[in-house]
Amino acid sequence: MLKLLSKNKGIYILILPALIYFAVFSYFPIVNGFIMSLQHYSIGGEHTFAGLAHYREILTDIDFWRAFRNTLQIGGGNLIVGFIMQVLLALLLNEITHKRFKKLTQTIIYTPNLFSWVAIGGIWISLLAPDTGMVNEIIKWFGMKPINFMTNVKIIQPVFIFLNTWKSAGYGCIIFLAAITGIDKNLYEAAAIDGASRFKQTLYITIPGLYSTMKVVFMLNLISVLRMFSQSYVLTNYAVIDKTQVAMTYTYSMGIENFRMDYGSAIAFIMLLFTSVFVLIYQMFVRKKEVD
Amino acid sequence: MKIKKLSALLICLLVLTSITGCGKDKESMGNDAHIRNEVNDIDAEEVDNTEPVKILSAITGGKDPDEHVLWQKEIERVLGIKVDITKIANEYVTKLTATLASGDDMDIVYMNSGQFEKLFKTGLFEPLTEYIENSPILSDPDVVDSKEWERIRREDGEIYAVFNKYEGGRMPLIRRDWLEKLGLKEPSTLDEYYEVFKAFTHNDPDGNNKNDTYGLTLKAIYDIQPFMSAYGLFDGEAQDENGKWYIPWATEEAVPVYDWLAKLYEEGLLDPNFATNTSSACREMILSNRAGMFVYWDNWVGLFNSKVRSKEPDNPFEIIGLPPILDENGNGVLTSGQDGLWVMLKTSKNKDQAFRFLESAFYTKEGIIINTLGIEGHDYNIENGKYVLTETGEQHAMDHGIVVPKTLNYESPMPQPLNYEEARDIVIKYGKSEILRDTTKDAKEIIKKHAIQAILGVVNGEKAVEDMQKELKAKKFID
Repeated sequence: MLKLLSKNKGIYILILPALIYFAVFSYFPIVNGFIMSLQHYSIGGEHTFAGLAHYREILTDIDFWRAFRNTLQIGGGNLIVGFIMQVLLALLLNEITHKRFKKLTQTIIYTPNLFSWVAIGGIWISLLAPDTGMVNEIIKWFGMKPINFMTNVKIIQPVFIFLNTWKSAGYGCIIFLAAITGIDKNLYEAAAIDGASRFKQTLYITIPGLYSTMKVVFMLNLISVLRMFSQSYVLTNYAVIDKTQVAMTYTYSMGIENFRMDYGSAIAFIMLLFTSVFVLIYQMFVRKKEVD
Repeated sequence: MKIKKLSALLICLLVLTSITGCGKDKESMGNDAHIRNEVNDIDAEEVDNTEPVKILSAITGGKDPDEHVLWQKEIERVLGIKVDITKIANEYVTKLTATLASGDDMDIVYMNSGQFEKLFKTGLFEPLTEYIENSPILSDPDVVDSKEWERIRREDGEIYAVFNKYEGGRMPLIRRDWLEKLGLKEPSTLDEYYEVFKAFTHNDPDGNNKNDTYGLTLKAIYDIQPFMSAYGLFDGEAQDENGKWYIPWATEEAVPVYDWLAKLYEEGLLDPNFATNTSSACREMILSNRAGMFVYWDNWVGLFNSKVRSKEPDNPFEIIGLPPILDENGNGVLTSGQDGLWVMLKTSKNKDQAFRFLESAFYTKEGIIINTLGIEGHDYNIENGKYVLTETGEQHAMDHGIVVPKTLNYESPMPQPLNYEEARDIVIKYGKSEILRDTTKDAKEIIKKHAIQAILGVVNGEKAVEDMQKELKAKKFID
């Protein structure tokens, strides 16, 4: 080990700042947060050991489990719908032969990803407004009654999924597009010679060619949906809070707004645990598929 | 190998750049700038040479980072106390929590009553009773009514905070010009309000021949107290004769009010965006002639009128404040603003100076002028003995942390905005401070949630109140 270190010591010295950065700003807070979750943490005062009291409280906290359910519902929707849209958009974009038009479309699709949820929230609340929103103007034009999208508990989660897909589809699409360019062109030629249609080429060459990229993108999306915060924080209102408050916004509410940093830390660790479990299950599933 | 080393070097540079980028550029930040007191730049004549008083504030100070520097210098010059004010305009509660948890060196901190109730049990606050009693200014009942000090005295007999300003109260703010144009009188019952809202919505009060107005705009259920007053209900918490805690807005008596509001929504008299509105959206509805009434702060009677008439002196736009609806006993209640409070931290190393700042900044004429009008030569000038606002001062609307001071014996050097004094008198007459506990904020969120469902018509008022009580009792927020 020491021999290996000394052999490449130049490189290790160069990456040392990065290691220190992550140790200080990522891992130290995680350890500190875990310690806090085992304490009765008093802001500015003395902390006493609480053991697993906060974790026991979480088990019977209806609000947390409701937020967790919302995380799975909205997050699950974002994951599945978003993933499908990303792949679909990449496949469709790949079919565009006109370079300029392709680049323009890529830019348009990617642009929403550049905006923060604050901006996106403001835009869509305005677009979906029941009286003056453009969407409802179109609905009224068809002779239907306007819909109060942002306060309807039955449709708010699909609205959230739609908005998240609209925002993030471009990002995944770019990754898949890049992966598609890496697929061997000879396979398409051979398939064409064998009489395969464009659709069959996509089905039997392009999509299988994307499997390794899909695995990585899906896993990254899985981790990020369980950590979702900004969308819920910006767009939640009291009419629909029981359907849109997610685990991370609940953690923020407890830890920051209610000054219960110990309890907030415990919730954060529970979510970290769930994230690890989901990722492990996913990886086991993927490995099993590979073996089969 | 070379590529590996180059890659490692690149990573190293990226990390170092990002660390540098994470550091705050005090000059380029927006309203959250922490502007340090640049000692060498002070042009002060009598600045105390002791340690600066370190202050965490949400509202006190300059309107932008540049003005904040000037504002600090001005307050040091006038009061002779060195200060270091961190003004956090956005996400104050996040910064407040982080500051207190990290043990940052602070002497005095601003917070509202709700935050005070939640943080009081941490034991962070210094008792100020002795300071107040020994202060010739604050102990003077002509400056601060002694009943006010009693109201915030804790169970241990100590007072732990000093008031920031007169908090005013919320009341119906209605377009008087619309009432006059449509031949309506000022409403005083729920039925009269309904008729007024109907007229405001359907009878084109703004005269633009478009069906684009609403009778009432709200921000969720902020604030439906003037209507709750019709049934003798008030905001906040209360105890019954057996000492059991309950919340008036979550009782059966509140059902007719929720049903009445649902009727307004159903008939299109209430702004359909009420559930997602922000306060600024509601203000914009009033200013852009889209709504005829909003329940809001008394000082906004004057501000609305000033904002419109300063640009268009001939505009008939006129807002007045109305009293609450009286109940069957002839009583009415409006909600007084939650106290904005200054607390001194026990860890402060500069307690005497910190208290001197509180005393002089918010309760002397010189301090109040800086907290209201602002900076001489920047926000206002004195011409022939009269205070005249500059263009900047007009935009700042005489609010640098205080609109109206707490002190009873202050006379503003500026004329009061149109209809403000009458509105303030109504709030003084009918205003009632909410009783808050550390669970009140969470309880109110439950009420808000179910009340909005009732107004939207998803459930009726009775079901909404039933659901409120069920959830409040399950969480032991009421007895």
